[in-house]
Amino acid sequence: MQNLSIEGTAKTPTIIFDSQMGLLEIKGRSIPENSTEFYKPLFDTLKSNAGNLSTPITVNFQLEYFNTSSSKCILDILKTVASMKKAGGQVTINWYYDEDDEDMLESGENYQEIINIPFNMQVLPQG
Amino acid sequence: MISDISDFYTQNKNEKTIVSFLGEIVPDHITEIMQRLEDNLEMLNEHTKIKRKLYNILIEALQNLYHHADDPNLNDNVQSPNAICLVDSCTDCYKILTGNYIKNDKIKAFENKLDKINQLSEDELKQYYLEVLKNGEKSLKDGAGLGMIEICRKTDNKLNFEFVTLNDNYSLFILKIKISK
Repeated sequence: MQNLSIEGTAKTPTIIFDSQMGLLEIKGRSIPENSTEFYKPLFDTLKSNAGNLSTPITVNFQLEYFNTSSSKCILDILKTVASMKKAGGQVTINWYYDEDDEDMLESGENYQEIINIPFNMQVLPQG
Repeated sequence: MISDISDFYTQNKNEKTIVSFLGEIVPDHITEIMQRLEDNLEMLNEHTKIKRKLYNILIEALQNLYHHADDPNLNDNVQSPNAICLVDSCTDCYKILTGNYIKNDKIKAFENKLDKINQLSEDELKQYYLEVLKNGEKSLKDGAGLGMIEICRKTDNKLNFEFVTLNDNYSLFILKIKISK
């Protein structure tokens, strides 16, 4: 079982994947020029764990900004998570957004429609 | 008459400009420009919603420059500016202006793509965005992808662009974006 921890920067989010705890967290800004390259370690880790996960998985997306180049990678991550669910895994997806950020809420709604798994839409406290 | 990108920059920078860039568009410069925008909007006490919108739009506009700007100076040893970006704070709106070199033979396909985006209604634009998100941008390789669609969606306006011919090989692609305060 592989875990992953990537510290956030001005352009890239903090990523935590803990297979024992069943936690995947993506938090911060995701606006790199080359998103595919940035998210590759996460994909590799998820793929290598996909068949071995026995614990339920909680996925937390808490993004402040993400660019269109990241939007495709986010979809691919969600598709991978969806495939874990299809394989019999227990998956919870939390999508956090600021109360006045309708665009972030809409993005979450679009993603849940595409992958056909309901998200828990979580409003972040103001401030 | 505009002779090159530096000329265009000088003609458009003004007393309302809060962020200005003339140079080679590389990731580090994009980070600096975004930081300057954030700092200035903070100083202006701008509302979170407007800050967020400007930030989202500017990153797409800059990364569009990064991915698509052509460089007529490639054979020179010195690195010359290949892109500009200006953000003006006006009374009732912010104006973003970007400019980059484009090879003349790429204009037609790019213009068609932008025209297609501009013909779509708000709902159609959303469907188009989702379609490209789901199916990938490979089929759109010769022009605007999600970035341009997103700029159009976020501004609630049509894309305002023009091509200024510089010589037989290159033109300037100019994009003007208006965001209401």
